[in-house]
Amino acid sequence: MNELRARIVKLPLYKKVCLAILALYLVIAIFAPAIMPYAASDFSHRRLAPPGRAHLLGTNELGHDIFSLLINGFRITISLALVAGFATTTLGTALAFISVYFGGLIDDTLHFIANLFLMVPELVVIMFVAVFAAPTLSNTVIAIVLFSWVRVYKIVRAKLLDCLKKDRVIYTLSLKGNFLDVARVLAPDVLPIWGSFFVIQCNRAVMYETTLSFFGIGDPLAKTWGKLIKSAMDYSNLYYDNVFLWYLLPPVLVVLGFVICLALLVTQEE
Amino acid sequence: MRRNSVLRLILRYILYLLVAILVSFALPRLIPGNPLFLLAGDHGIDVPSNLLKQFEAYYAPDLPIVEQFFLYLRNLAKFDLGYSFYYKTPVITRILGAFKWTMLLSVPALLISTMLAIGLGVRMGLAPKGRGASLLPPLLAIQAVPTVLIAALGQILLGYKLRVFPASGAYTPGMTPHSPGYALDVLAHLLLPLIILIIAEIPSTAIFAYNSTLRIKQEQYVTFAKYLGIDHRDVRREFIIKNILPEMLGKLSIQAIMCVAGSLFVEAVFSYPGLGTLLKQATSYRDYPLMQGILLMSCLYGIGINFIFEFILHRYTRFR
Repeated sequence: MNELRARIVKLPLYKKVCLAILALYLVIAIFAPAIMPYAASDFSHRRLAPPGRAHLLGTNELGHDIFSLLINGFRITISLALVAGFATTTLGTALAFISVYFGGLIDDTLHFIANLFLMVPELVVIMFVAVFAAPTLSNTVIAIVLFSWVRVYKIVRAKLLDCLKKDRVIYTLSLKGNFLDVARVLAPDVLPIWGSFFVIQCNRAVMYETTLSFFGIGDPLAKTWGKLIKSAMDYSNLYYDNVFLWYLLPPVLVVLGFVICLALLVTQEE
Repeated sequence: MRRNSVLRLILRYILYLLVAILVSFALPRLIPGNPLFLLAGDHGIDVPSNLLKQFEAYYAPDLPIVEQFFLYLRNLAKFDLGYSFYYKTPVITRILGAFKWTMLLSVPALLISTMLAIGLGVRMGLAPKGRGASLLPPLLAIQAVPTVLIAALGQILLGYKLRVFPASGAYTPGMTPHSPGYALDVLAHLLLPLIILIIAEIPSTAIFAYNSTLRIKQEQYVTFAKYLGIDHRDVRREFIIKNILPEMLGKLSIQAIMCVAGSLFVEAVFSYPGLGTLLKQATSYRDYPLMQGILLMSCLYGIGINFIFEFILHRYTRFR
């Protein structure tokens, strides 16, 4: 714990700010039900009310309280990001381990698939799978995970191939050769990359979900930030009377804050 | 020896091609709840019976799966991608019609963004006392934002609020290629999506060029050139930029794919009549044949681009 604190203290100022903002996002996501003034499904309010004391960000054309939807979106979007980020990074790392450990045909096949995936815009494939599957939040996550592990795989595989030359790895290999033992010995080398990729993939998951939502794909009832942006952009009178200021802009700014803080957190130091 | 490795390259790409076609064939049939053959008008589109017949003739759901695949291959060989549910026309005519708009947007974006990004990255790399690194956070920030959001913000600000540019479409509705001022009108509609796509594509190339520059800068011939008192502009052009170009070529092949992908999202926001808008319509009307066609075309495009670049790189190393 002290070690972690020491590492945080050493970070440059802008990274500390990012970390603080992300911590705030997490707190909002955890305590969302307590912060929301109304239930997310409650559409009994006066429609299209401008911001006021009863409705901080006004109401939408269906009578939902926009502020409540936004806070609810923290919970849904951040859980989606964490789950997809964790699963993608773990899948990519695991496949890299398998690839390097078994080598030969298994390595060739996995590497062939990875190279093919890199030639096709991954978001188009994700979109395709997500449209064909039933529109649920978990299917969106599965589509994202299945088609975005490739970058993690490529980098971790390269790193592992490097590590195989290290003495302690050669030693373990020659002594026992057990898959789990080798994984344990290699773990300290891979963990930092795993950490950075986890953050990057959380960023990507939100990026992808936002784009999928914009294309009208995904569970219409799971009100992620992307869905809020989409429903604002679908509202035909968005640009009259500055409605966009409280309808469209808040979810956009929330997404921007989240993805930018994540991206800046993983930049390399000089 | 040499011919052998060219042959291997070609064989590998044929294998990529086959796998991509196989995946585009299998994916809609594999995903649970596959709606490809459940046409019973569930998403609000009525499929007329003659179209349904054409559809059945194309997909032939009653045939064994292997024969379906061979039928798919035969149709592909005739450039037949099936019929669009929504437009009720062959998918291939829709895709080709949209493709030219996507190229009009993405090719200039690719060229301009690559040139600007190389210039920026090299300058950042050569800035005294590593000051160029201070530009990294803003570049990374832009890179992290979904392209649809950048496009949406640009559209709100410059299209709807300040009204500097037309906010949507590729030309004023009602105009035809023969109307007076058509070219200018197309250009005016192109500018805003183009600028946004360029902004979205610059960061990754610039960061790449920056890292390459940092590496080349340490080479002894660069240090020596400085001792010789060669003008720093000449050093930059002759010693740095020319030496990072081979690496940039590899990056360009990735960028050529990213640019088209980015262009899809920008188009969808601006209702620009390219593949992105087509894709948006295909997804919102659940037009599966059209989606399958777009997926297959983007796979073929990606594989084709990679083949060309790998081939160039192959030739290049031969003469070195």
